[in-house]
Amino acid sequence: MISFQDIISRLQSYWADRGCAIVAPYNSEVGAGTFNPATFIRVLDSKPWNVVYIEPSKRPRDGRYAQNPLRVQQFWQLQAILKPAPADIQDLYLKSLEAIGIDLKKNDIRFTEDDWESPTLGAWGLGWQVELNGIEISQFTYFQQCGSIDLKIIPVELTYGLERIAMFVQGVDSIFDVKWNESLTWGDVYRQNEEEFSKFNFEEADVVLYREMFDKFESEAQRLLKLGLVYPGYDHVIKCSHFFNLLEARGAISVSERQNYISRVRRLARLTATTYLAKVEPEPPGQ
Amino acid sequence: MKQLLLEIGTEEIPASFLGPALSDLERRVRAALAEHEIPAGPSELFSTPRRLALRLIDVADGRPARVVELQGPPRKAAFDAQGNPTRTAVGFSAAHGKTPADLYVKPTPRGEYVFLKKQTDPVPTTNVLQEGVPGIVAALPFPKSMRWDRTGVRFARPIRWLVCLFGDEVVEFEFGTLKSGAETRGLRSSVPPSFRIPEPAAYQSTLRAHGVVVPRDARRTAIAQELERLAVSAGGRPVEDEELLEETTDITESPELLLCSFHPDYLNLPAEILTTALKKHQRCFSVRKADSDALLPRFVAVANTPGCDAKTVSGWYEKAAESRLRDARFFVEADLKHGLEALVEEEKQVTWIEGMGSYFDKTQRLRELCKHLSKTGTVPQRVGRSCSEGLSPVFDDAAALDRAALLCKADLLTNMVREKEFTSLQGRIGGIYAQRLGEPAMVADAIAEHYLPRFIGDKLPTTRNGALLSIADKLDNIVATFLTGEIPTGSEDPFALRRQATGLLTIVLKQSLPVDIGELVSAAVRLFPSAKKEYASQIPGLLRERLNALLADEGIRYDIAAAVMETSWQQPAQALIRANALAAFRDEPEFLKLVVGQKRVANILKGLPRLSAEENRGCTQPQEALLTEPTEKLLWQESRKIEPDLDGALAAHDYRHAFELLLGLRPTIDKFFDDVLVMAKEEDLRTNRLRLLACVRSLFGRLADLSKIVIEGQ
Repeated sequence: MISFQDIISRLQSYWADRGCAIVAPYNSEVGAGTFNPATFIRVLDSKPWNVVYIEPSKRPRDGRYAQNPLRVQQFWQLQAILKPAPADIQDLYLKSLEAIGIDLKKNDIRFTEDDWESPTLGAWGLGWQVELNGIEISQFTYFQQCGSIDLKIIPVELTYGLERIAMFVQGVDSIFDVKWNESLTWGDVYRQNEEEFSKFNFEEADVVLYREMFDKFESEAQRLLKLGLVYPGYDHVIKCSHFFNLLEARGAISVSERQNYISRVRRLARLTATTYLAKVEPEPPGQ
Repeated sequence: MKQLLLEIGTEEIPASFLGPALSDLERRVRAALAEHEIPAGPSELFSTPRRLALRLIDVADGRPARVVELQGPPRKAAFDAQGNPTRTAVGFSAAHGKTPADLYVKPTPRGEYVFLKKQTDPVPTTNVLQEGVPGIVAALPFPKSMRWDRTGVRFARPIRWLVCLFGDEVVEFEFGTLKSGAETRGLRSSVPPSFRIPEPAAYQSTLRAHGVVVPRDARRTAIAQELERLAVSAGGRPVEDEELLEETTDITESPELLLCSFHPDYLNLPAEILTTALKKHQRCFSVRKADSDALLPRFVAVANTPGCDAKTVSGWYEKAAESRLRDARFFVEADLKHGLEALVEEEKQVTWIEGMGSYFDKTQRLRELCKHLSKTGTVPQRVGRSCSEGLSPVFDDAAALDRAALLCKADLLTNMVREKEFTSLQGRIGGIYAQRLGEPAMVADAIAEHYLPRFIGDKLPTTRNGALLSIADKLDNIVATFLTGEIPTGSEDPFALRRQATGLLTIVLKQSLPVDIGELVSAAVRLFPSAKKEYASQIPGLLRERLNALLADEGIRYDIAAAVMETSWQQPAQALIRANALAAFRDEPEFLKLVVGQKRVANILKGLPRLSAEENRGCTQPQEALLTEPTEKLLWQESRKIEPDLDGALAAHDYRHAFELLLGLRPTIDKFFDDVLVMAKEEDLRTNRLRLLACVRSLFGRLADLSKIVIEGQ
């Protein structure tokens, strides 16, 4: 039996052995590993960049008060970024599955068309969702644009849905039953967290406060980015995105407002990207 | 003569991209060979998600050396007065490795020019391919393409290998960072991962030996047969789904089908929802009972790993299905609890098209339009029994239609339709819910059918209410989009308005609905308070253009279409019936004589814009006192005489009789042109005669504008 934590460490070692630095999850709420500056910012420039990290992904709307065996408002992603994308990247990915005990001869793996897009980050790419016996376990994307900017070097982003994979390799039917290690289950670690955050996300989050926070963090992000402070500025962009997710889960955003909020975050993401590039790779004058 | 093989090896390309790219590939390779006059025989096309391949048989080795004649400058520029070659002549000949002594003079339509004969180099096919193929690969069009390496080349997904063989030799070229070769790849699980194709003829067999079935048809047949076998083994039959069969063919290299089960409790779900959940999420086929449409708790998954552990794989497919079906059941229960009526109120909060109000506003307009449509239908507007087969001309169910219009968009706000996998069931879900919530069948069916036809060749609404609601909905879509200024131009039609117009007209034609396009469009436009006239005025044009295209699809000759479009396009059902009637007369010699007569009338009237528009339409009768010649008197009397009969015949769709009545006028018309000088000196006589002709033309015009008919050989 491979535990949840074994899966994480085996995947990290697998990619570390192939030149990826193991870096940390970001210290702020994100909806996906893509928001981590180790992806969003570092794919922009023209230097190679190879990292692997886990990321707790918070999606307030997906909470189900710990009542649905397959849906939670915070789950773990493991993300590898390889820039530039190696030519044998599909094979490398498949071998990583073998590293966690998935026998590719006995199971059916399929790369199914799924074009990834993050409207808030102004990012999109082409690729697939990877299905193991009909169940999606990973997202495999060649980024084309990030922060609304065409990327100079095409990176590949591999995102593993760790709970799904663990359910498969452990043969359990609920996220909450996934064995974290020999004595704890996923539910032992996170059940109370799920219950409370579901209540918070859907019922208690202070709508007035978070609207105000969105506005203030938006101005602060703009101010900081104009000063050329890329990372502190982007930190505020991430917060804005999370506040938006919270407000949406609370049902506080109408259909027409939604688009507006998304484009406000996208503008900030774009400003982050242009500020970063202007700083690390300024265009020679006259071009 | 050799065989040519080109295989583009890729990472998994989306299913829908393969077919168009493959035929484009063939076209471009053939064009490149043809450009160099290299003959090529028949071709075979192959595709899997990981390869696009083309084999051409009997391709010539190249174009042999031959002598061509090249035209140079005019003689005057090439030789001076003394006949000595000029610098121009020296330059032209030198450019082709010749001297002025090789030049000779020949007359051309544009005067005398100098020429020379030159032997061209042979062009080996290999060279043509080396130069042409990289450009061909780069130019293949895809709905979306991407970059993946430092060279920035684009394709649907990364290209990882290229095989190009002419005979048993590799045609060497580069694309991006790749070099072409003879090495291909097998299934991901196969050992060794790559191997050589010895020659083009061995392409299929070599890959087959490594488990890959490259002919698409072979995979399709294999899936269909195995599906049938498994469904029968479970005591049922597969639920037929061409679209899914095509898709599973295009996402497998070596299909492996597995029979799976789900818990029978889920059979309570509406069958369409079950089938869609299994199809959209997992690309699985449903299984029905052998003797009815009721489903069995079985489904068939299409895997792509031969020799996989069937128990493990199907077990996981079943788990995935279980979770999807549980979600679906949750949605259905929640939606039914909420009801459709409550959602109508919520529609007020949902913007439909920016600036065009909410879904609620839309349903209010649909109700009005449906009222208009049902009124139109009650007027017997020249519709005889023959054209309303099976459909009651009286709307005793107008209340049901109104109810359907009110509820028809509510399903867009249900949990079910908001899930992207089920959006394709919009309308159907509404119909199912309406039925389960106790609405009468007449309401539920109209809701269920009101998006039909969703594409060209799709099913049409089978109920009258469904047909009318669909017409109203499509027209409202067209009008609203036009009013925002989004008018289709050329290849730009982002909102598929042409398809909507075609759908609307198809219903009108197939169900022979007595709809008047002009009135209907005005009614629809009036429902938008601040409609801009400049946009609204362009709407009939779209419908007219689509109707013309539909008549062509119905096999109506273009000239007959033009003749009926001219007079009846606003009543599409009539236009089609008349076109078919005209087509039946067309081969009769009498008909052609009638056409000739009408062309004469039309020509005289066309050349003379002296009549007012009203007179031209034939609304101003000639003054009998001014009819001086016996023949013109006769023509007028005969015209007057047949008019009531003609209108009666047209109203009864008795076109044969109408045709005969008009034919009866022909001798008098011919005599009129022989005896009477239309362009008389006296202005009053002249005007009166033109009025008479306009009246005669208007009689014919009630059938069609016969002057548009083209007579062969003229």
